[in-house]
Amino acid sequence: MTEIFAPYKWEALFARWPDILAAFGMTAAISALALVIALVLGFVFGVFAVSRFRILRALTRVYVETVQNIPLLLQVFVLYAVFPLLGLTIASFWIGVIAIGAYHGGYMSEVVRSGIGSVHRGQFEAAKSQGFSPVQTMTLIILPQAMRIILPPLAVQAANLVKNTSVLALIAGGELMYFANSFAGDTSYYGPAYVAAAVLYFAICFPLSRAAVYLERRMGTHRHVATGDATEELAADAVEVTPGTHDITGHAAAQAMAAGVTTMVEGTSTLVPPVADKGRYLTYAELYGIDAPAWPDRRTVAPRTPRNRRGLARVRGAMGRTGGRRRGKGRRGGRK
Amino acid sequence: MSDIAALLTWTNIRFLLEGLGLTLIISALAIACSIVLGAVISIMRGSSSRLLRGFAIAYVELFKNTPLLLWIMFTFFVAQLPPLPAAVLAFTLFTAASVAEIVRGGLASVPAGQYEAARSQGFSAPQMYLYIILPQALRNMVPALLSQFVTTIKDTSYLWGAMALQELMGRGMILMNSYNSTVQIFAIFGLMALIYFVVCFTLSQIVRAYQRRLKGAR
Repeated sequence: MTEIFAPYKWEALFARWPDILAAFGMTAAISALALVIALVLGFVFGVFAVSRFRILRALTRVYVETVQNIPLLLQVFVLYAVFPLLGLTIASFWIGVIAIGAYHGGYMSEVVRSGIGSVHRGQFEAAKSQGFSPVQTMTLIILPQAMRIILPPLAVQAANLVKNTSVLALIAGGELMYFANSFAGDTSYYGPAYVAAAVLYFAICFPLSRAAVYLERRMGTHRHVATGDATEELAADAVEVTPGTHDITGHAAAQAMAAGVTTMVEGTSTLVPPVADKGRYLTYAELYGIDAPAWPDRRTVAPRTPRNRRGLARVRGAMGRTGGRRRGKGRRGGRK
Repeated sequence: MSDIAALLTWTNIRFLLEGLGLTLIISALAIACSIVLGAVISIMRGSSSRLLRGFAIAYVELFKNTPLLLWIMFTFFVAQLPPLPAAVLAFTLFTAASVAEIVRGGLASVPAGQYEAARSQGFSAPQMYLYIILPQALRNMVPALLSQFVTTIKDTSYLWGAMALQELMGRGMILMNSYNSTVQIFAIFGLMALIYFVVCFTLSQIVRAYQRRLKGAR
């Protein structure tokens, strides 16, 4: 064991410090540019996902499912090996930026979508009633409020993005992992090479994941944030977004899974006040823990009616459920 | 067209599907092992001993903030294990950190009343977890664990580049040595993407359906 980490091997590694620094800079640069792409794609497609145009929603679905269900390495290889066949050769640096940016854009759009879903429905209606255009509504009213929900998982995604830049080592990307591999391969001093790489990756990712935890805690103090009617959907999403591993920290997981049920973890139960029953908003007093304002304290909203009621009734009738039968009874009663 | 016909023979398809088999075996083994390790770590995380708690936190932070590829290299080159055990070990170590978080979330999702009720009925701690808490917690953990499985399946694609293990990705690359016209390379990439997509998409749809059912049950 000591032989693997012998001092002279460390010396050989540190003698290459300019290369280490360059590789580290490469990783940072690829990460930063990919992060920009991922954020843009994430917000654009996150908003598309809640659009009222079906085509945009479908487009988002296709994008997200494609990106999430095919290995990142395969996507990188497509840019690396298939695109040149079409006469389009991209430098491995840009392959990294594009592929990793697009990959995490998919995950981020899911985060943004569930963030938007967490905003109280009344906010959309209020903005509309005040004459905001859809774009203004999103950028000025909804997204700023959704931010508090969005930010923690976004920070986790950023850390994942940095980690995933390591796949570029397999296409000679010249970044940190590639340096570690080639140094280890040249000298067979595997131990120091990989430990040094681990330390450097940790140095970037750890602050990001700490930021996620910090933002999540801070979010917990703003309890009114998570009271939109999409609370339950959001709760489910927090787990659903997990395909990208570590998307949830334990705290968020507990919160998501409990979804308003009192839990063992101190303070968790206050995070997501349950929406009392379907179709009813929480009263003002319940939300903010203060006395009810002057207006009627219990605003009730009729549960959403299915658009095609007749069609639904017909389906139900065909299935032998209430719709068909009840109509029959009514007619019989009329004849009497 | 004949290029494609030459490629899409039963032998080649089977060659790829065998690769998929290895992918699934490695992922399943890794997930099974990491559930055990993850459970142990999350129990340590909740223990009253400061040392154990510190170790668990350090473990999770270490693996959460370093790339998987690094650990694959580590088990293969530094620990000098043969490819298959190295792969399973690397994935287990790495995935256990996520699983530990999932288990912690799952345990916390069981209402406190259940713990109290179990204790009041005289269950010992292991009995309580085994008969009362875990069955309920597991129900909540299944979607997250399945998502983790999907992630692991996707990540096994590193193994060909790192240690020449012939999983699905590797098999595809091997095919590319003998079928290297443009159309054939397109087809091989398409085929690999399709296989990965079908497997992962099916699993994530199962996750979604299960989640809807959970929500209904609630």
